[in-house]
Amino acid sequence: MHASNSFTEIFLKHMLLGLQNGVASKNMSFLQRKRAIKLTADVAMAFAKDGAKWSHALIMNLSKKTENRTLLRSILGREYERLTKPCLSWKMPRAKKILQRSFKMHSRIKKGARQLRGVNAASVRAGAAVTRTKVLKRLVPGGEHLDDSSLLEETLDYVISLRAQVDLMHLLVKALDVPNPNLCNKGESGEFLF
Amino acid sequence: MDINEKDKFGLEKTEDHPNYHSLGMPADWPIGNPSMGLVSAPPMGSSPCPSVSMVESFAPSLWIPSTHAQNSGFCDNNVQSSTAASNSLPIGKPVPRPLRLDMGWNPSDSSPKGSGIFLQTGTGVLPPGLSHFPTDSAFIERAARFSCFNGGNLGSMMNTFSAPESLSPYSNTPKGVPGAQIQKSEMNTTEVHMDASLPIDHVSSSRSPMKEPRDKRTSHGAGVSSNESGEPEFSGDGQEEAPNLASAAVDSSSTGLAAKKRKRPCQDMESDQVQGGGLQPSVETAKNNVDTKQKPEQNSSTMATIKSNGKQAKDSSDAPKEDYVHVRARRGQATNSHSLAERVRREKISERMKLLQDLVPGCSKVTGKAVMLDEIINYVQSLQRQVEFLSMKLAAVNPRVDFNVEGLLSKDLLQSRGGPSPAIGFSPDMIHPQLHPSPHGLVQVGMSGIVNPSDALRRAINAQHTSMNGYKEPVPQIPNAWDEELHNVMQMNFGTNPPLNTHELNDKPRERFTM
Repeated sequence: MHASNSFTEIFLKHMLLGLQNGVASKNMSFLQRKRAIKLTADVAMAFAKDGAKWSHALIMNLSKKTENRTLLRSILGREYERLTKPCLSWKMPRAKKILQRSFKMHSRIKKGARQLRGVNAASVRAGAAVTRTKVLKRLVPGGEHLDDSSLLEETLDYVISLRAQVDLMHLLVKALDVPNPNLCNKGESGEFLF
Repeated sequence: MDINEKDKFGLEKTEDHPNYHSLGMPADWPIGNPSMGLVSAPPMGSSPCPSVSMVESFAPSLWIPSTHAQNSGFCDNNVQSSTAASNSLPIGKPVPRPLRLDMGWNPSDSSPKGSGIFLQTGTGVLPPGLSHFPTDSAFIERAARFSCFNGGNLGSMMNTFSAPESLSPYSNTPKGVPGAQIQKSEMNTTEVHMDASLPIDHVSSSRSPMKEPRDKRTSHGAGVSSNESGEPEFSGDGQEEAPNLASAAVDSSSTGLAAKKRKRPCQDMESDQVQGGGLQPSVETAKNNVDTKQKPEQNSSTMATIKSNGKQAKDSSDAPKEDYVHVRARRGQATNSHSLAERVRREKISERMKLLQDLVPGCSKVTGKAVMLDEIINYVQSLQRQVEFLSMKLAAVNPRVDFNVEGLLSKDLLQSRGGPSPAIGFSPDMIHPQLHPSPHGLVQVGMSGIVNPSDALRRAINAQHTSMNGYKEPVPQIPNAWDEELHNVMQMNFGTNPPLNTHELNDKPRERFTM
């Protein structure tokens, strides 16, 4: 499964746009630059994939920090307002999830009081899956409020986009890294050549 | 009933087809459809044949198997065989023209009530001497049903279904044994098929022939009830049935269908039928013609008849009209609504896990949710780390490159997309990125694609190209030749999006950054 061509195009376009606006000819420290580049890449990726929940969540998470906002605005343009608004449809499932979770905790407490922790193979397996699901929810942007099946769907989408992002950035690195062996004066550029 | 039938046959022999239609079934026949089926058969196509067959049925001694090529004749045979032990008619006569019957079904389908009325009137006309015919309406239905079947040894089918019945003497048909299975499956397919496509009336009529041997035990006043009683019998009978059909039909009956949800039953049944015996085209045409009504409605209605309880049938019939997926309880599984919902959920999750398995490299052998989730988490984390690392790299690269070039590159990249064409020597690299440090070659070519319009970068690429000659990947490119190939390579890069050598990147110590 690979990202579509249009996805890659939009991604690249916005990435370069953001790099031009945000990074080029600006006096930034290395780390700042790196952060800006990552931000650009993430935003471009999320923007290119506008149908998924994770993209919306990612942009929202990024826009929460004030220092990102200018860059976000420059990349997203008109869409900024739309994308940074919290998705209203999430609030209901969120409330439901909270209720469910509290209910589960309650029932779990009850069960725990009743029985010793049964070392049941099935329960161990189920527990392992549950903990890993929690980890995955933290990894995937916007995954906390999703149920298992949609979480997996979002993960799928997210993995595809991440892969495309990595490939694209790799290409960019190589493209922009070309003049380094000849033109570089500082030693650090050489470090990043394989 | 039998009397009526015989009378019908006799009339048919003497009269034209429209007259035959005027024949009705006696009032005591609760279901006029089967006879309608019989009635509808003759008016189609060749008129003399059905009457001939009927004549023969009346006079077993005069039976001429060779003439028995018609559907209606066939069903007459079945009627005969099923009814009376006195008849020594061979049953296994092929009925090669189901089309006629199907066509006959069509008008009947369109106006079931009218035909039923016809049948009602006709049955009363049968001579009293034919009392030895079974009075079961199911018998008629079965005859009608058999008339639909194409070719083969319905006699053998009959034998298999009603071994203890009077049909046993008819097991001597020459083709009986070999065709038994086929016929059975055919019958099952068609029967189920008919069930799926025909309205309830036809369903009841079609079902009853199958249950005919058992109908002697049950009194089927209403088609629905008879269908219901027939279902378990059918399921019990269907040991030799085509497995898919059997499972489809039997499951529906055996599970009791307490589940209020159903998966599009028509689709299941139809698919099974197609698999089961190679549906006769006639049956299909009949089905197609019959399907004037909404399929889900019909299916729901047929499924309703098949289900054990009318009430549940109503629920299920209402269900398909709604917009969500309906799940049928599988055989031997709990039909609790909770467990069904959970099963749906579990299936969804497993389906998505399979997709993810394809996506995450090296997960084809992994089974089990937890391990799979582990792999997925690892992969996502590694990808995120790579992004960070690459952004760091880009940060290092950036200050040295003029970003106007990037704008040019982007334009060119976006414009230069065309049909993907294989780049010489670089495709193997792309295919096996993990075997050797191919990304460099890859990126090199890709980069050259990007660089195409810009001279400065081209020079740089040449320089880098020469500097990277030490790598294993093939470096055949002459800088002049790049112009044509760069486009292709870029396209291929973006088109296939091959996973770069992420493992290599993962090993780099520099990739770690605190965030």
